[in-house]
Amino acid sequence: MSEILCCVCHQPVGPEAKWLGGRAYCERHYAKVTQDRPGVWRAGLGHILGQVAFVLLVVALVGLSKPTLTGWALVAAGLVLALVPALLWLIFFYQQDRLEPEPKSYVLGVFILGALLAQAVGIPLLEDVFDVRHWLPISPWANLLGSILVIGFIQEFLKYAAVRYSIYPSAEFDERVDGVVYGTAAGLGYATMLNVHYVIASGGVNLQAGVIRIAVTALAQASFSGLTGYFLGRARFEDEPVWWLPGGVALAAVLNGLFTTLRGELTTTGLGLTGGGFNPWPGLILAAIVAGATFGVLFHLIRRANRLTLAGTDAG
Amino acid sequence: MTTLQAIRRRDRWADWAVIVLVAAALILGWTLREAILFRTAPFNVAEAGISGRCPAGWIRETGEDPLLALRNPLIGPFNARLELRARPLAPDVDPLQALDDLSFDRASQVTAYSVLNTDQVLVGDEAVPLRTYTYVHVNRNPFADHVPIVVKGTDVALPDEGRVIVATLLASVDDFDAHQRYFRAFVESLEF
Repeated sequence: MSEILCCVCHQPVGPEAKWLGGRAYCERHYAKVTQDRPGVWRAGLGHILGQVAFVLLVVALVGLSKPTLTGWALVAAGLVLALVPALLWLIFFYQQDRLEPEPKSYVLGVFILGALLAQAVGIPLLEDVFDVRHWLPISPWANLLGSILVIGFIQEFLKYAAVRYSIYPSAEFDERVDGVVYGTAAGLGYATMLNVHYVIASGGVNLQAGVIRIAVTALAQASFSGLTGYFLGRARFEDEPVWWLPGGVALAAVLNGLFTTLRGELTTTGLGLTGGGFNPWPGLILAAIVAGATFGVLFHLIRRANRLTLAGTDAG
Repeated sequence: MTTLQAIRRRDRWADWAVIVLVAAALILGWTLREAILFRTAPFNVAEAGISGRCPAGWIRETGEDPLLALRNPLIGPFNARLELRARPLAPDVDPLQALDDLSFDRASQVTAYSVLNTDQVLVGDEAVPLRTYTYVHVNRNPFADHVPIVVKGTDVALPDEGRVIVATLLASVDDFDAHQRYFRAFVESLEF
């Protein structure tokens, strides 16, 4: 008869094994799987509010000081702004999660993997192969369908892959909430590379509009990959059907595409006598609402699953 | 099969299901892209007796020379364009003469006109002359902040009774290859 091993640490657990979703756990990892980790959620909330505060601060400072940056100075300022969202999240995360922090090297590794996949695969696929900027704007339906099928699925699959094929099978992925943590890290890595690419490709950015775009990208990418991470976290520890993971990636891709389309509609204004063309603020409001709602729903779902598990029932 | 083996097997199926789903979405996305980018609409230049299909959504202008000009509004600052001209041609004259005349005109109208090559291509079953060239497009609008653009062009001469129809593709060198497909479809659709 084969030995019963903990599905996380692969150590023998014997007849005392705890069972969840058809998988055996040692005492320690069973307790860990069901941890709520409120610090993660506080970090998520702090990150959203911090981003909005950071944008307001930069917009106010630029408005007051009216810096006259050009050339490389403008590019350098843009690059600093592009790195801030990820730094903010890391600061909040490790500040709030001091009791049992995730290993920095793993979180950073997934972050870098997300960024590398964006640069090596995501951006070339969207810009060079699918060439989305030349056909998405042709009609609203093309924009919506293309945003979901092409932008949504490419971005969400790459962020999913950054977690699924790196940290996911390891013993460090030992809590349901870890899916959200590593998913967020992958999303922020992806967003950081998108923002760096945006700054460099534009040869520097208008600091006020640029910081809003950078924050919107970071909030959106982190939210959608956090959602995929939730599905990964549940799939790792529970008895989920085959469609569960594809369903998670598809849901994140659909939300990503809807967000991309809606953001485009909200930020593009009609030309009129008083000017117009582009207003980035609605995009920031939308991104903050989407991020807040996503993390709120995930917090509720994971807490519910943990409670059901602790009450002796598999979360349905 | 143990429960754990069954779970591992299901995890593998789930992994493959994600890959299949993403591949299916990208195939659909590519199909959508092709359908949108390469949609065509019919055109008819009645006075010259020429009809065919041109890319839908391109800006269409008609005149005397060229008879028809189509511009891709999504490509800038130099809109890629397709043009159609008709020139009289004596029965015993090589259609290449029409391309030489056009080259002469262009050399006097544009900056740094230079012929890259002259070749024969098959259109339908007929071998026809094709000339590729470059020039520099300078936007003379004092309010436009554009640097000069290197344009690549192709003319193909299609002989008809007593005339030659010249179809042209013009695009910036960066966009030229991507527009060859529009040009081929445009030329192959021509009826006169």
